[in-house]
Amino acid sequence: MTRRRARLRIRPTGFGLLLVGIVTLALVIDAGGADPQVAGLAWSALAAVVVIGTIWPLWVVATSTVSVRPTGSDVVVGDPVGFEVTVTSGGGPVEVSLGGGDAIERRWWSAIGRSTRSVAPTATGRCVLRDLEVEVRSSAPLGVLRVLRRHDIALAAPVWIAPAPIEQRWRVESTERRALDGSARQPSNAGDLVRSVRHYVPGDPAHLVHWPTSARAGELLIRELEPPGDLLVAVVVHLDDADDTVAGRAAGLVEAISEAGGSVILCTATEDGPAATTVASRLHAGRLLAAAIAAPPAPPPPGTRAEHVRSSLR
Amino acid sequence: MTTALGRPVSPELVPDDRRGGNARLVPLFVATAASVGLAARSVPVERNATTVSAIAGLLVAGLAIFLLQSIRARWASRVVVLLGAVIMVRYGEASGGGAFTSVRSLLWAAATVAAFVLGSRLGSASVDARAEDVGRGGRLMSALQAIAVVAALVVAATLAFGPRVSSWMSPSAASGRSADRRDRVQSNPMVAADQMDAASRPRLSDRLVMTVRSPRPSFWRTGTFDRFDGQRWTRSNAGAALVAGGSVSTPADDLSARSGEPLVQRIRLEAAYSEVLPAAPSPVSVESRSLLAQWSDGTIVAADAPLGVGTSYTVTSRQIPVTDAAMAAADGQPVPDAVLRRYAARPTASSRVAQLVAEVTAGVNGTRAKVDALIAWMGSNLTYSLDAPLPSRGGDVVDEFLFTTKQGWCEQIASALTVMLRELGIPARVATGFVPGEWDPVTQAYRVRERDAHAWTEVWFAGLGWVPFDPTASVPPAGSTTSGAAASWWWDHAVAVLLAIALVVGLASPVGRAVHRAAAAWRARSARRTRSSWSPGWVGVVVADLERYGRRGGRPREPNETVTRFTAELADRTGDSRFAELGEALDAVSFGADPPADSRDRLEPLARELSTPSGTLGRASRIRD
Repeated sequence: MTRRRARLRIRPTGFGLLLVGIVTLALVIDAGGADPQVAGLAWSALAAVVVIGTIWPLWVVATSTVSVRPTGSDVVVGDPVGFEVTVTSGGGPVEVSLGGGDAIERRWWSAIGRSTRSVAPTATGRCVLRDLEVEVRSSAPLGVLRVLRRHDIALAAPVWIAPAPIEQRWRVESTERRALDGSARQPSNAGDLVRSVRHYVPGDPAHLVHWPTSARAGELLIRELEPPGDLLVAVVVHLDDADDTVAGRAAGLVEAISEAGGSVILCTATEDGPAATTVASRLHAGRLLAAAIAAPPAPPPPGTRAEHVRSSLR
Repeated sequence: MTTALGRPVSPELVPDDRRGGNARLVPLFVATAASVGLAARSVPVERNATTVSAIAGLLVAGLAIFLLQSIRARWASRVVVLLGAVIMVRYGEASGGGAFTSVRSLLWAAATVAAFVLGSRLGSASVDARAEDVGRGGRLMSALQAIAVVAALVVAATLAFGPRVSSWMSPSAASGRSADRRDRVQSNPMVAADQMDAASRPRLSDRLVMTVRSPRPSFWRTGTFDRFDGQRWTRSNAGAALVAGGSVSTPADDLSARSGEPLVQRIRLEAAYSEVLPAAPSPVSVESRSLLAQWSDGTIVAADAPLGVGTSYTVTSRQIPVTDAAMAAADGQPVPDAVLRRYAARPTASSRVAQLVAEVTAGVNGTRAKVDALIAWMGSNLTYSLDAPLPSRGGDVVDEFLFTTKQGWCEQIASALTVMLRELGIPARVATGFVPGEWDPVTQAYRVRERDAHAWTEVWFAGLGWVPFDPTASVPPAGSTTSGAAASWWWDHAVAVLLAIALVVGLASPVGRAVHRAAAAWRARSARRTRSSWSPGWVGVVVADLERYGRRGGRPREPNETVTRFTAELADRTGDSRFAELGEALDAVSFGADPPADSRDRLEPLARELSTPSGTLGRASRIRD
């Protein structure tokens, strides 16, 4: 459901001020021998321009409606975030902008009547994007008054903006390597044991789709494999508002551990409190990091190797 | 919403609105040139006014829009248009160039609106020059629509309020420019003359003489004459006295001046040279910045210096309402000897004029009836023509006109009626001045031109004073005149028509969109009816209906969501299991399988309900989370 809260801002344009000044001066200054017939007609026309130029954009913007639908659910910082924006404005062109605070760059475009436009601003900040600001402004048709209306729109489904992974090197310890090599404990699997099936999440590898099951169920299902070996690493993320590389380094570390064959438990702080979550996929890790806040994270579970990611500024 | 990275990027506006391309500047140039040209047209120019103003408009607009690259086109356009407006307000004249009409002021308003709208759109277009949501054709139609609606509203407002504002701006008295003494010629109707030569042809042109704001029309009198020598009319008591304190002294025989209803006129002179100040009879007071004098009959004239263009003054006249009953009642009342001596003495006329008068008025009783009889005879036997042969010098103008030429102009016609009335002993005199003139519906003032100069007869009635009679109106002219009934209806309803135009044009787009949507919905319904149920085409239509239903209810279908999954979600949220069954059946048909026969009967009503806009499911319904 789209929840709207609109705010209206009005300010005269430079041209509007000039026009009002001329109209006012024409009344107060003695025109001497000017023909009052011509002066009266011209003044009336300019005054009508001022009045219409004031009322029209107020009506256009006040009656404009906006709806937004995200076209994707998961992106990474630096990638475009797709939205389908439908603007309905009667009475003339309007300028529309889409913004999400620090999360996405603001973009402006013009629209006439009812128009649906796909915009893809670049994601600039890690977050779970649940609200958008859509600004509709107009000074049409005469450019006398500029009216801006801000719509705060709650998205029906959030958009997860994950941090861009910063490549990290991670080394498997010798003890853990023996476990992986099978000298002491033979891994119960080589990474191809099906643990369960679950619903498809965008980003899951296509080769994991179990097609027969999917056809029977009528929806995409993928095989969830047992991770090779028993290597379990807890990545503890200490976010810092002053250092925006922490989340990216954490994402890179999760990727490195996963590629090395380990399983990751991501310890972060969320709005609901500290959380330690087993990472199911790269996408899952991205969502966990997108939702993380700068607060004391959950401690690593006992028995796991802990890798702390902290700000490099301190 | 939590963020940790990035800073907001400032709005990316294309700073130079010229990047829209020259194609967008051309309409702006045309509108700006039109506005500036029409404004320049209002300023008086001696020669080739139209050419000069057109060239001025083109040059200024071209300079502003195409050559001043350092200034934004829309700002340059706005500045020059406003400059034109200021020039028009300060220096524009209704007589500018001899042919400026108030209709041009409405055209100027429309061109100005077009320039402002196009300039505003130019700035809007620069926000995203790549925006092609509507397309070039759509933007053009939208611009034209906006111009039409706004121009109609502005012109309607100008028509509705312009005259009131003009009246408010009009000073009760103002000094004009210096008089042009080159126009001090006898044929100039604004020259104060002590005589009226009925044998000389008048100068009648389209030159604007004055504009008059008056609640009702009247003759604008410039003098009266009571002595006739056969060729010329002169005025007894030809002296003039200064007008003191704005109060006009009226003679004893001018009964209207004492008890008539007031008529206030605001008059602005447009003639280059004026000695006389026209006014409706009978003037009792005048407000002017010039030193004025008056004749014995109440005619107001300039006392020291003649008056030029722009001189304005306010006259209060008094007029007694004339009715047939009042004129009939005057027959039984005595006429003062002074009036009879001055205005009813036997005129210089031939015997056959007297004989004609006796024949025409034989058996006619009452002054009014006799006047009407004579006018009727003149209307049946004489014609009006400015090209009539001039009377012979030294001859009897009236005799030649009535019996020889039988055609002439207003001075001869009025002279003839006056002479004939005096033959009957009825007090009458010749008056000169102007007819009311052309009513300008835009400025709501009378525009009086040289060709409106006129002469008529005034007859004295006891209790009423001087009553004007215009015999020329009864004498058929040489040409015909158009009625102008259609034009009159337009001006009477101009504001309403313009508002209607604005409403129709403004609603054209939303109405058009509504009609288009209705047509598309009807076509879709027709397609559903014609396609057989459970065919692939029918399946596609039902899937589209399901997606629309979910979208309106706040649960849109995800791009990678199967129909089965989507409808299962809808079933879960709405509590209606038919959605899930329908989705499975649709997917089965999509892959070539037939749906179970028993489920068809249960599922088809649901599909129909989804497609009906007025149905419970067709309307936007909120699907619970």
